[in-house]
Amino acid sequence: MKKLIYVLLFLGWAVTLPSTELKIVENDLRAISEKVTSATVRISTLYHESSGTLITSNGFVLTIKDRLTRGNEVSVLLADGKRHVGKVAATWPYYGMALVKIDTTNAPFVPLGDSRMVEVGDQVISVGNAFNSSSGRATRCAVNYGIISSRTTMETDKVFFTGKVFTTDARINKGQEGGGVVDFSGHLIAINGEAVLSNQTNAFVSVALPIEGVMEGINSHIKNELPVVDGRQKIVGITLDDRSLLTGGIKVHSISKYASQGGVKKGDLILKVAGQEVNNLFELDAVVMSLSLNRLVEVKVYRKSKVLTRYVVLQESMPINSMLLSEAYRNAVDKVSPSVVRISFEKTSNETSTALHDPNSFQLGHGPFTGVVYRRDGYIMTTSFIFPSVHEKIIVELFNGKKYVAKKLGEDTGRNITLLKIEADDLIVPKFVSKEQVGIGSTILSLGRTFGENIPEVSRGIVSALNRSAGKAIQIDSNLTPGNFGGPSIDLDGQIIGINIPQANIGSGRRGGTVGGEFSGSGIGFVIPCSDIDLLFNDLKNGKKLEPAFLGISFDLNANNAKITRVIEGAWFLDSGLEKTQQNKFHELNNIFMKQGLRFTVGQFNEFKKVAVKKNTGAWTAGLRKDDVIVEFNGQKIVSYNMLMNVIGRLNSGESVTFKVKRFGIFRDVKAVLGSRGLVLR
Amino acid sequence: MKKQLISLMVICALLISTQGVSDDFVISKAKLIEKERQDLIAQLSPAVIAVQSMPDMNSNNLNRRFGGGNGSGVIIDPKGYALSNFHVTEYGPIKVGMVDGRLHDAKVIAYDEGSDIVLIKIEGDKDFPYVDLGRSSKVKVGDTTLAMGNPFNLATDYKPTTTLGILSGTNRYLSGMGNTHVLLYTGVLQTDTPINPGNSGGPLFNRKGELIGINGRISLASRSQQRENYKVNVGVGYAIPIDTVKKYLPTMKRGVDASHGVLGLSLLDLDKVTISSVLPSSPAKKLGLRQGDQILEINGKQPQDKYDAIHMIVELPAGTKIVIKVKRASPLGEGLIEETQYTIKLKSRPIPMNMAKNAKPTEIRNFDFVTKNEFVKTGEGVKGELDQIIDKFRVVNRDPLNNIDHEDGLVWLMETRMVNVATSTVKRSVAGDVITLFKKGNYFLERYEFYGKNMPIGIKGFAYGKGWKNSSREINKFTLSENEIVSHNYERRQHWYGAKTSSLYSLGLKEKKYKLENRMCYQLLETYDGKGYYHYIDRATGIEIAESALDKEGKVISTIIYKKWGRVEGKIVPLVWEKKNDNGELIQIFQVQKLSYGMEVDPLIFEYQPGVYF
Repeated sequence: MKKLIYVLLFLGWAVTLPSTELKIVENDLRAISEKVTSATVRISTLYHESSGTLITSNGFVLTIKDRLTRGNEVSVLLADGKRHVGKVAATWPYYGMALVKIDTTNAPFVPLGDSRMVEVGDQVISVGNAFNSSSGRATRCAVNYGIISSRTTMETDKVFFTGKVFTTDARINKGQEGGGVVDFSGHLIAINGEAVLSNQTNAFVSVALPIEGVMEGINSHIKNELPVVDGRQKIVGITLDDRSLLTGGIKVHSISKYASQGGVKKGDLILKVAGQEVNNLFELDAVVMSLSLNRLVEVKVYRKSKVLTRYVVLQESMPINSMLLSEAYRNAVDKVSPSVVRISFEKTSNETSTALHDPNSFQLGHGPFTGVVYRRDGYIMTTSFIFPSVHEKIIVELFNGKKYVAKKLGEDTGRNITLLKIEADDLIVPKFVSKEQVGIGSTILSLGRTFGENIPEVSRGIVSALNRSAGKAIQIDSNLTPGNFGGPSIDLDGQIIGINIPQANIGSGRRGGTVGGEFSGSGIGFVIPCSDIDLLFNDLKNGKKLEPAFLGISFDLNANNAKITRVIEGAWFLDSGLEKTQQNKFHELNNIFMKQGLRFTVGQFNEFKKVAVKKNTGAWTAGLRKDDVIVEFNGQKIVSYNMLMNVIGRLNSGESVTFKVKRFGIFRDVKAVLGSRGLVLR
Repeated sequence: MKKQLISLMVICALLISTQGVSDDFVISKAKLIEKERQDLIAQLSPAVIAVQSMPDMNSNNLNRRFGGGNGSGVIIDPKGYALSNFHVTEYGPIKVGMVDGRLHDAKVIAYDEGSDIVLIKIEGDKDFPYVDLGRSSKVKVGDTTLAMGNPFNLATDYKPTTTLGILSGTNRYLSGMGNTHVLLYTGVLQTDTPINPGNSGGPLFNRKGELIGINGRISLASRSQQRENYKVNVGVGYAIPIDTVKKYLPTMKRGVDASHGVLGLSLLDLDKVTISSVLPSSPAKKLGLRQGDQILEINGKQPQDKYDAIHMIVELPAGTKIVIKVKRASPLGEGLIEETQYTIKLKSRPIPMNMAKNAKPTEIRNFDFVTKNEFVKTGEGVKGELDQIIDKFRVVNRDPLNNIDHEDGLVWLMETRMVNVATSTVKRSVAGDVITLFKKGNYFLERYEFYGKNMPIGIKGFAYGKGWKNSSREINKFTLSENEIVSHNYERRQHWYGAKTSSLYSLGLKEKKYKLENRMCYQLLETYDGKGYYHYIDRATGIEIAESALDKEGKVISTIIYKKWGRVEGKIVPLVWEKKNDNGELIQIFQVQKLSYGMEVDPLIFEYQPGVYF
């Protein structure tokens, strides 16, 4: 069967019709994983342990430099379980890489690719011996899958590289350093760095070192040792105009990066390839099949009444499906990119608010962080988490570089979101999608703008669950960190589902009130749906500080109904009419309470009474008592505590609600006003 | 070919009506994949359950009384049989949460402690949604994997959390934890699907929705700079392959606990798999196997390395007769001789006392002293230096979200201090010495621990006092007798310096008789850094058995009672601490567990927290 290479997109789709989509993607991954793991090695010396990749059949291995120096002897364990003694042939300190040579023939290897061609959104696998999980001699190194999140310079204390690096959402862990990062055409385009701490966000970022800087150096060492070509698909890198199929002649519709480098443009008509006339696809196919990879090919094109000569390097093709997937990701990101803003801070004074420096909480870096354009006339939505102190000037930078000073308007402390306002009225507003359209398993792309690149940082995942954090958030499994908190999570159509936050306050128990970055990078992330934010927008616009509702009731978690086990009578609240110094006193006392554990009596701290007022909880005032069973809430039937929590959890303090309550077999209606959580004393 | 051309034409026709290769086409592939995935998840969700293990107040067993954990599970049979991890359900009675938002009763049918699997049955007669078992031998690295479960107990409605990743590796080996090597995982799957504490026991599916593994352990690392102790999944998770489970499933369905085999060997990875030591009264010992012997074949297969060999043995049930080919090492050390084939019967692995379903409840004694032999061994050759570190220990607080200070080695609670400080010197004394305990300088506390030949005799001297600089006071004087002293442990801590020290107290140290937990002790009051503490010294043994933190008025806020003792870094320290509040209610338990060197692996349990306020 003849392959019509230049109708890749069309034919590929046709051929794959009978199978399921997931299977196709999987086959690509299986094939690449098998190939790459067989070429991945483990390198060790007394003071250096890393993974590495064989890049030639005669035993050249590319790895991370770490503490290796030229001439060192190292022990290299191959995937077949055989151990070799190797020598470090070269090191490149600025690029963080080293080349090792072992004596062997016919070793499986991964050919080098051109890391300059790699784009954000490209799928990659990262291979290596993370956590020494490949401890046995016969177990292969592990494979992690992800996409290229960005290409940027990293601000980090741990410097083992210079220049721009890739960041990826494929996890890179201890032991994996030096292993290969391979794209879906099966080429090595980078090697694993490690998870480094970003000075900007204090989040860990998986860093991979692109190989372009060392290509020349490597080539001079491997000299004539070119990778053996085994008949894989070759392409020039053009996709054709559909009309060409029917009318003949090859008109270029769009170019891949490979062909564009050679100067072929959209709209060109292809006349000759490698000196031979080509009138249709079959002829083109025949010519290309006879050529070799990595060679310059002369292409004559007809453009604007002129015949031009261009040179293209034949490249290996990536499997269609991965190309399409990555292209789809990029398209989605492009749609939203103009609405993703960068938020940074400038200190205006030396004073820092002590109240917020809870040593238990996540310490942020200095930024910049991310936000989203919400309304054309200057409204920006982000997360409250990124505002560490009250005395900082907030600067918002748009995608085009324009900077504005921003004013903080309202915030929802339960949902962890803050609304900002800048003096602009022509902002590009993204498309939003309502949360009803979001299903479990939907593809998610989470964006951030910490690094100052044109394209936002992207991390890919799926929707893990709905109605989390007391009904306030959607849970996703993409890599959410301070690098993208405040930024959007979007669907494949480039529509914004919601704003990324650390965790919505679930308002319960010991941990009520603390939201840190505990889940950062764990595959557990939360997004506040835009459709919910829309309902609160006016309050936020008016500068309101919304607190999560607190009724003051506790339930038996194991019962299959909403039966109240305890009603808290009263709570102490900071008297909002207090002076600043008194507020500080309050927070100081608060810290002491925290250190002592939860139990204390008001009598211990008489000063406390001076700065706080006691209010009865909404539940107590409404007459709810122990053993009442809540059967209806705001007209909605309630069958369990969980259900009630998800409903109340979405509300903020100050709202009036109604309950239908059953006590001793009698039903009654109760009205209550939702309070907010202060310090609860017993 | 013809078929393809036709479809090609059709597609072209369709596309011509748009603008050629449009964005919609690009996205269509991704959307098809997304739709397939969504449909699959919707189909599988009803069979995924949240498993809650309740504390059993009536149990004598420490773990059952104060434990409790959250994990996940998956229903594999319409009658309601489900799989989960052994370590999720070991604590006590269980309930399962299902997608209907309700908790259902369930009971354990059988354990497979060796594989870390448990078979449970949900009460009820109806037809339960279930999943098909796949074949883990068919999965390949790169395959899509979906994990479903209840990490961090985030599913208040018991609807499972779904995460996506790929199969990262196969045939992984994780060493077990503790003395009995619990949670030894051999031949397991590795995945980068995000799984976190709470996912334990939950399913790992392939793209067809077949169950290929049960998630069990993860490698943790901290991903937040400040909260070094807060460790989360970083893309390395492990699942027990379903083929392993299938081996024991028929037995377990009959209600019989699975028992895995042991040979009683510890192995080395040299050129061949070599025996490094043999356990006494084990099948290997009975055969006469020795250190240095090489294992060439197990049941006709050559083990690739020691992990492979362990996997081959552990996979089999106890009582199985296996044939091993061994190359014996000459006792004279002159190289290896003879290749011999032995038939050997595997013994069952020792099950820790708190884990077997049918185990009798064991009384937990307060003090477990080390044996004389152990002590003497580490006491040798020590002159003013720390004992060599025997094991590295780390306290595992069963609530991973609590912030406690971690160190490789001993752990210090943030609110209270352990009395034993990590650095100390061990000096030698001889019989006949007269030991005088002095206090020099200011307010301080000195402890003198003495170890006898037979057992530690505890704190003989407890010097304390109050005063200003340059004063001294003789506190205690006693003579060492012949057989009594081998070495003593001395430490001194200075609390205050001079008159400028601020203090909320001006109470002196008092020694009172006190009865704590039915043991007669001395209650000593100490003030340090403006806070007050009671130390309770057991009168019978002289060992400190508890410490209370006091408030400004001198009232007890909380008490930590030390239970179950052992050795850490050569010192006798308590391995289980119970923290009680001022009402005497137990609020926290800390337990010291041994870490495997080189890897940080934790079971995926999330602590059950009662008393959530809303």
